[in-house]
Amino acid sequence: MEINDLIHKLSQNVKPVRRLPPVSILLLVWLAGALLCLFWGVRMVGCRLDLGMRCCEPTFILESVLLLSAAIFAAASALAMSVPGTTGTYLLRRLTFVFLGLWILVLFYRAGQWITEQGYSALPAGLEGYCPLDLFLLGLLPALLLLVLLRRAAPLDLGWSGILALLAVGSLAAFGVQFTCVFGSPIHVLIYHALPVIGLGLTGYFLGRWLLRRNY
Amino acid sequence: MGLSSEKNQRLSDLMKQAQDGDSLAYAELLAEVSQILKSFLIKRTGTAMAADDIIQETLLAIHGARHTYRPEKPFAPWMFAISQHKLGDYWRRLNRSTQREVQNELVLQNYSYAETQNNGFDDRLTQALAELPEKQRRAVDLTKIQGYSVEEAAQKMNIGVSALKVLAHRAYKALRLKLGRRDDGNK
Repeated sequence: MEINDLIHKLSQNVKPVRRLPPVSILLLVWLAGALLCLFWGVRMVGCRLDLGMRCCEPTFILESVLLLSAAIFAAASALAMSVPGTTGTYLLRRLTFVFLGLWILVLFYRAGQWITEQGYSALPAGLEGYCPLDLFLLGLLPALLLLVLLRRAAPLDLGWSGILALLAVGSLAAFGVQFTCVFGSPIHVLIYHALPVIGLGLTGYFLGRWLLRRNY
Repeated sequence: MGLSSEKNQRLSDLMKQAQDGDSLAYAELLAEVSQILKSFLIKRTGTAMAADDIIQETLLAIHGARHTYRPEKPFAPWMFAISQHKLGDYWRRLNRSTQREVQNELVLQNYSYAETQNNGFDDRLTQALAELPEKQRRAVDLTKIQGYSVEEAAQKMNIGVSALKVLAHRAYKALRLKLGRRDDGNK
């Protein structure tokens, strides 16, 4: 088809469109909806009994802040990348990985301290529990909401958009699981919280290319 | 890779009108976008044919993504982001097609000598070649019949190596279809 023919065809069929809101609004919408779903999910699963005590611990606060920050920056990055020409996406992406990296570093540090105190014989006790199912349940609705927002936009780099979207959802779910998981061992958190989040991010590459694809 | 602020503003205003459903403004916008992208893409692909293909894909993408443009933002970054992405798609396809070229060439080589002698393959190939567009025919002629390397053939045709590979790939694909169809007809 000649370019002029294509221009004629496209302009003949043009209809008014509803403009996409700014990325900041999209992010706020997602955050509000996701935190609401998280709150409801945590209530359904049930809070840990020692939550009051844990909330006063510096490491708990630090990990919560790191996870929430990673979730926010990952979602902001995914949403920003879904609008062509948006600047600052590289920085947002970097910040996502900085916060996630810091979280994992904190976990490794805590794991090292735990092994030093308890000894290697206590390792099997650290492997108890199974949280990926809770992670999945807490992350499902936020994931669907983010998917709807991304599909409403026009992501160009589907792989990266998928990675960042699932890292956002995974980090948020891991933040929520902090309030429900009764196993305090950092080994448990590394294996049953951190690894699934990383796995989710990697899966996001393929899911993004499948679910965000549009024909235009 | 930038437009003057006046041009940016003009395109932004046209896009705003297009988002409100103004078909004349939209046609004008797309025509101007095509002009801007033409020189940009010819520099990067080396051939007007590839540039035209990418321009068409970019226009379709602009059509599908026009609701994401915010009128308070400059138009050029939005437009070039889409165009750069389509250019990247083009290079990825070209890399894949270069690998498939070998398979396409084997289609021609798969006809054994006996087959070519028995069922007038030479005549069919000559006719199929004659039906190709001139540039594609020349690309095949230089590389396969006269035996020039890809670089030498590209130099003779005054085009880039990647442009020559695109022409050759399209020629092989067309020949495969033509020769395959004729074979089916003869059965």
